[in-house]
Order: sequence, then C-alpha cells, then structure tokens
Amino acid sequence: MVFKMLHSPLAGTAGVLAALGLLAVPLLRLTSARPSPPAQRSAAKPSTDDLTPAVLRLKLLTPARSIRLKTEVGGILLDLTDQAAGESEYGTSLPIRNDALDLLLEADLGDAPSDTAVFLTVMPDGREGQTRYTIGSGALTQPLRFNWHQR
Amino acid sequence: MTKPMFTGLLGILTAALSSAAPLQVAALHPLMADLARQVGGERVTVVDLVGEGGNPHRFEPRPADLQRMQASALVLAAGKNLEPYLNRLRDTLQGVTVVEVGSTLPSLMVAKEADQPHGAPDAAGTLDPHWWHGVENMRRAARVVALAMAAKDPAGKAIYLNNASAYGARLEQLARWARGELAKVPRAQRKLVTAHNAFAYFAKEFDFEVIAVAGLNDEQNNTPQELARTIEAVKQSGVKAIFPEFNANAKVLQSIATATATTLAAPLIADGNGTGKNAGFEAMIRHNVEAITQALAPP
Repeated sequence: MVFKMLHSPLAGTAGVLAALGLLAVPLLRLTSARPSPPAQRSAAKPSTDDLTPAVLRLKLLTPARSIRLKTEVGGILLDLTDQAAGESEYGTSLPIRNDALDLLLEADLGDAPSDTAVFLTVMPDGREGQTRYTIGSGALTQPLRFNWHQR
Repeated sequence: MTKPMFTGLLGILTAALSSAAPLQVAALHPLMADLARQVGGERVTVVDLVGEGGNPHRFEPRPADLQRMQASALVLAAGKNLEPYLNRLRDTLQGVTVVEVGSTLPSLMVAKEADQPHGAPDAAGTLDPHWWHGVENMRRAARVVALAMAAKDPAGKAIYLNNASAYGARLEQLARWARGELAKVPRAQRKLVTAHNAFAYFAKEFDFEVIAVAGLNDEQNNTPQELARTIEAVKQSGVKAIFPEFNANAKVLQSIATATATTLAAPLIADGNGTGKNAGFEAMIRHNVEAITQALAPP
C-alpha cells in the first residue's frame, strides 16, 4: 500500500499555532481584565436582606371596621376588616433601617360615640418590643415611629 | 376480606391513631417544660428532662435522656448559650428539631466590670442567658413555641396559637400585678442583691438594679477580693435586705448580710427551680415579687 503525503507537517503545526493565537485573545481578556466594581446597592429599594422578622401585636379597645398598617413606602403589613375588640398577633417582616422604623396606621373605628384607642406593639427579632398608640374616633391616620437607638 | 379493602382499613386506622397521638416535646429547662404545657395543652406530652426543682445550668444529657429526646418530635432549649452541648446534641438527634426558644428574644449583655464592680469579672461582656426571668420575654416565647409545635402538628396550629394568646393575656395581668406590687418599694431600695447574676431581665422589666454576688452560674465561687467589693457595693447601695436563692447555699450571703448589717430575705426562685406550689413560671414570678416587696417595701 502506498501512502500519498497530502500536506506538509509544517502546515499542520502552523494551523495549531493559529488556533492557539485566536484563543489567546479572549483568554488574555478573561485573565487580565480588571475586576469590575461591585454594583451599588440602591438605598431606596430595600431587598429582602433588609427585612427583620417580627411579631405585631394589635390591641383594640373597641371593634374596628378596618385596620391597615403600611410601611413608609406603602408596603401593606396588615389589612384587616371587622376586627373585634381585644388583642391579636401577626408574624411579619419589617424594613428596619438605622435602628428605626416608620409605619402608617389607618384605622376606621366606625361609629363609636366616644374616643377609643388602637395600640400597636412591634417586636422585631432580637429587639425590645415597643408600643405606640392612636386615640380618636371615626377614620384615623397616624404615622408611628419606632427606634431602637442605644441611649 | 379483599387485600385492597384490608389495606384501606389499615390506612384509616393508622391515620386515626397518628392524629390522636399527642405530640411529644422534650425540654432542657423546667420553664421550657412549663411553657410547652401551657401552649400545647392536652395536645402534647411534655418530657421535663431537668425535672421540677432541677438546675438547668448543671444539666448534661445522659444516655437515657438522649433516648427520650430521640422519641420526641421537638426539643425545647432555652438558648442564648445556656446549653453549651447543643451543637453536639443536634448532631446526635438526627431528625429531631431542636428549638432555641430564646434565640429571637432581645438579649442583655453582662455589664463590664467597670460598670458593675461587684459582678463576676469573668462573665463581663458575655450574653446573659436568663431571659426567662422577663414576663414579656416569656409572652413572646409562647408564640415561638406555638409556631414550633404547629410546624410539627399543622392540624393543631390554631389550638397552639390560641393557647399562646390566652397564656399571653394571663402574663400581661401578671406583669400588671407585679408592677403594682413592686411600686411599693421606694426608689432608693429598688436594688436586688442576689446570690447569682440571674435577675437582670427581671430587673430591667421592673426597673430594679442588680447587685450579684456570683456570676451567671451559681457554681462560680468568689475570691476574697470579689467578696470585699460586693460588701462595699452593698454598703454603698443602702439596701436593707439581700436575697438568697432556693436550693443554693446561703452561707456567703449570710456573711455579707452580717458584714453589711442587712437582713437575709426569703429566698428567690432562680431559673425556675421552684417546687410544688412554686413550680412553673407564673408561680416563680409571684413568689419573687412577694419576697422582694415583703423585704424592701416599708411595712
């Protein structure tokens, strides 16, 4: 059997070298590229990392038509209707930033003839519970500020 | 009887038995056992491993305890580093959920020596595990236990949460009563000189100051220098009574009382180690409040 040489051995080597050369460019970019700066976290947009598990304790002295509790950016934490007087607890997660928390309480206390009160205790994991309240009648909107700054 | 029919009946019987069987909960602290009973009611069987009058600081599980825990669905630990063996226990108890009841509750740190010259210096800056002396803490803990039980027994979730809520209401009344009683103690006398440093959470809730003779663990002994510092602190505080503890040697406190011309009051219950009518959290708080008021309030 006779073998016919179709290509020169040098031509094959040159092909391999050319392929390696082509690969070298992206490899060099990959290995010598400067690390890009970490993406900036948007302070205005809380991620789930910023949320603290908590328990909310609501105390009503008289029945309420509705109770709504919102975060400062409008996230709804509680949305209750036809609540009886008494205490109830709810698990939630709170956007506590710099040891502080701002909430908005909206309560429709119906046609109670005299002033009544709504108490809200916030108990985040690892922090002391704090209670705020609002007194009045009819429809109430009350901003509530909680803070756990060390004194 | 055909085989499918037999299998079906067996399935119904098994389901009925499993739903009727109470949830077994083991506790590594007498007050966690009490809490489990309050929240679980008739739906749980509680295994109190430390036992009534036992000291959770000294408890180390034995092989028989491990078997009882292995047969439980839940193991309740106080947490906050009270049980140094907890990681080993978790490794051993594969498949059993160990709940550190106090882990999500607010913590107090032991004051640095500079702030507390009478305290045990080796404990300064460490986490104070005695959260169970706070009434509000116990109220929060009830919900933690209710949710842990509900995770193992979802059909009982409403019962556990209702029981926790009812217990919470009782504890609120207890705290109100305690505040009323302790208000009889003049501000200058609102200081608790106790055998070991267990009452910081109680003191914070009811606005007292703690002067502890020993550290966080009642087995810690004092050096003569520490004892001298304590005697000086008691003299400076102007308190008229100091408090021994149940099941603890009052010899050191007796010598402090003699050196400071103070009265040795009725013993306090620390760590829930009361027995009989003093067993359980509510009885502990009632007893301690009465002992403190009797000793420090004017007649």
